[in-house]
Amino acid sequence: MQFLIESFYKAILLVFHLDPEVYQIVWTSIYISFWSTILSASIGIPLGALLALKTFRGKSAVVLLLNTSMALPTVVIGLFCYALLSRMGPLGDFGFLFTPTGMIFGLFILAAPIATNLTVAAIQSLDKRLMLTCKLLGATPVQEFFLIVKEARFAVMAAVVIAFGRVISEVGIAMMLGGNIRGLTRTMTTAIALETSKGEFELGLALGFILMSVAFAINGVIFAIQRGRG
Amino acid sequence: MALSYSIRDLVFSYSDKPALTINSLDIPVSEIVALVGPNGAGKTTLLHLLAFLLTPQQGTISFLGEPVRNEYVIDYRRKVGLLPQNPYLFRSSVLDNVTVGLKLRGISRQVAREIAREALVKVGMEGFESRRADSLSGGEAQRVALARTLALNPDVLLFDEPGNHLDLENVKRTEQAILDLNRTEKKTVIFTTHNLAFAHNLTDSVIHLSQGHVVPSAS
Repeated sequence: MQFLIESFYKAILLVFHLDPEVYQIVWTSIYISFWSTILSASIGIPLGALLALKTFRGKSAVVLLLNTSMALPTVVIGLFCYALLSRMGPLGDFGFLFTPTGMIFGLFILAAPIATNLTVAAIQSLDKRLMLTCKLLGATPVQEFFLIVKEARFAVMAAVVIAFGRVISEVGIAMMLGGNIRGLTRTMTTAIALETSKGEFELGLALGFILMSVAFAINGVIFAIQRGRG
Repeated sequence: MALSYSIRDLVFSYSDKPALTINSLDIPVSEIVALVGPNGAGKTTLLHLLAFLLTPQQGTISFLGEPVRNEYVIDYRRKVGLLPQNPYLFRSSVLDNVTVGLKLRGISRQVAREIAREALVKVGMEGFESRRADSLSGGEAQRVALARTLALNPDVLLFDEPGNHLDLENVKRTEQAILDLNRTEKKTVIFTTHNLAFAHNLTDSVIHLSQGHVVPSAS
């Protein structure tokens, strides 16, 4: 018990003494999560809107594939992306493996189905009279798309925040594609796994506190969005 | 005589089930026309065809003297204003709801707001500009939707069951709005109703529909 209390105390000191290594790791996590979320939202929101609004052959298969991809273990995504980015893989020439860009790519694959599926759900739950109203007002297809997404903005924003929460707390893809390189690709989750395996509980706990604070902040944002809807 | 619509040999079906068959129908410019008939007669289908929300499988519709072409459907929709029975208001303020169609036409925010304020005055909703649309009563929402349609200054106004779900005061207000639009602004006004008294209060030009066909008037 004494050991836990001491670790806890040292972890708090690390956080509040602005330990450069801790903040480098936090910054890397936020940077990678931010860009992978932005990319996944840029693809996922329009794709989700199209899936929700358009009828085409094979739509059910696409929706099934997207739902399945939400349940994929992250190590499987990591493995798949590793195969693509490794020197022998089709994208090997870009040299993205064990770089932040490679991690952003992998986390994008993880987050895009979340952003897409939640956007589909958000738009399908809208009042059906909205689509008719857009046409009545003389909206072009592009204007109609933006009006519909705007009406679903609260649920779409929540989808983006959930996607961010998923990628920032992910460990398998970050480890496999980033390689946990100190000062370059070490994130909060990979650092916690490494430090704990080394018996360095203080740093692991300090990062754990920060990660939990981020999770708390994300939930706070979702809560604020939900309240804003009312 | 200038015509708002001229319909010839029109057939419209929902999944092979014929909903509307009209051999010939002309609606002159600046006239008030009532489409009457029981539920399922095809009134709303005809209204949606006139609003260019539906495309007939057969036949032709001419609009303001020109045969309708599918590639210009958005241009036609912008010349027609349809007020549905139960209109949808966007999750924003009353003023934003009235300006939305104007902004879609590329009108600047400031000008759109001025036009919207004038339209709200016309329907007696001045002072409601900053209210959230989802806090309005049914009658108020109808009037905001009417202001949104009027702000766009369409050539033709279409009303789907305008007296439905409204109290007596709002029915009178709607009747007056329809008459004003026709008399002062010379708009063509077409509305559906199954209330013959409501129809005859507003016009003598009544088109009776039954089972998807225009039938000769009994009067």
